[in-house]
Amino acid sequence: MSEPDDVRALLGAYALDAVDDADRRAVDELVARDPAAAAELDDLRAVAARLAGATPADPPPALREAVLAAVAGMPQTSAGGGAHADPVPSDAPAGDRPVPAAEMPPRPRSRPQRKRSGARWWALAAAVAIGAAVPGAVAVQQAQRAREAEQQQEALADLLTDPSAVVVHGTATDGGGAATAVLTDDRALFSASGLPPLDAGEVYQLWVVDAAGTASSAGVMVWDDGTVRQLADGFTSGDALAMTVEPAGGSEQPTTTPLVTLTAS
Amino acid sequence: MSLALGPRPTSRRARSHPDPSGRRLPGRPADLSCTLARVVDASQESSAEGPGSADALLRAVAAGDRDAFTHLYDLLARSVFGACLGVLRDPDHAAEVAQEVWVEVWRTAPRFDATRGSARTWSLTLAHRRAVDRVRAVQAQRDRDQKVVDASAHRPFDEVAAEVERRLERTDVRDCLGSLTETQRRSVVLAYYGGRTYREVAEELGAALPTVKSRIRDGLLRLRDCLGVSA
Repeated sequence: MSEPDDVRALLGAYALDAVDDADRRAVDELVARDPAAAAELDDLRAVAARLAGATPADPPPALREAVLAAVAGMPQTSAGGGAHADPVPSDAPAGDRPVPAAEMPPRPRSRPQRKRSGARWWALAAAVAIGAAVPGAVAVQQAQRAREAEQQQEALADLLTDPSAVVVHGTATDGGGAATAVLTDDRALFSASGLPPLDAGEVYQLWVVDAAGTASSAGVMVWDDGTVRQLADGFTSGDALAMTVEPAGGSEQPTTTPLVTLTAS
Repeated sequence: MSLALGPRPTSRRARSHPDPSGRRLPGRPADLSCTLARVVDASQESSAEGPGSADALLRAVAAGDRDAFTHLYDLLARSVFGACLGVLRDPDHAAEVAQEVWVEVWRTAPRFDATRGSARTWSLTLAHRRAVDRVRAVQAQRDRDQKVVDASAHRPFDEVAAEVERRLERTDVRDCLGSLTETQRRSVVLAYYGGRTYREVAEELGAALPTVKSRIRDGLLRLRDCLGVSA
């Protein structure tokens, strides 16, 4: 794949995702330095999208709610990327992508951005969110799951080696359930198990509550067989985590008494 | 076997397709068959600019607008799910991958660059890529396990073609696929809807690698001209 013409001939296959990783890198390099190739690729991608769009199908109705719940409280990446950054970051899952500073509600103090463990951390965030699978979806995707599990373990290992990490436990009121959180200076992982299922119009929502008592949503959590999990990137040292039951879609501010509240002290 | 995708017996006129970007490769013959498709297309693309268009919505999503995200979902959900289903075939798998795609749309919307293509193209590119990633992951797992995990890996061409034929809705795409040469069409259909690499396509069609590479590229350039697509 050293000859530019050979690589150029791959533009079509690349646009159809019909290349392997080595080919993809070769094309990425070509496109980065050759505006004509980049322009051709943009055109071919548009053609490929027309092929994709030619076979529409109704998604399961539950997907909409699952998607909206999954992105609730989820931060976005920053724009970044070069002029011809691949619009689809390479095939690796979220873990290999650059990580932006968390974009939770504004905080009065600035927090240092983690560089080394940031990507893994975000991989964990993504894995947790994506783990909110569509109800009824069959989990036949062992390979994917194994990869996600591995990333989660790595992220968790990173988290636990954080010198500031503290593990705290609590018991939920009303119907039981046990909650555990790993708290660090600038993020927290919350999980609870043994929680009763909620009515159709209700969800479990996690909050970061600062010392002044101000609550910021850390996202709606998906109940899976009694278990919920969530990452709170907006957490800082001294904050508390609280879980409430809210109307489907989540609330701007808590509307019910927390079932459980966890703090480091 | 021939894919039953053919031009419809519609009257057609030659069209001229000036390329404002000047990107047309020299010596590539203009396709004369798609006036009708162009008209259909124009009506569809005319909505690409308005406030409720996918482009405008994705720009709003990039700024963190959750309502815009909901609208974008409603606008593109069928296309995104269809793109996943086309490759994965299993509705449960397709729903899982579609969910991953939508989460990624939300997360990476700030990276959307309208100068490189439309929001629809961006979203569907992502959807197809993730569906193919899933097929290959499942395939790799199956290769390791030596057991069938998912029937969507390695469907024979006939099956892919029959499925595509059944599901293709847009007559312009259908007609334009029909305007390709047999090898171009088979290569494109197998690679895109079958989720194959060009190497696998070459193996399956018993063709040389360079041949398949160039057939895919030529086929897509011909589709571009036929569909009047530009990024």
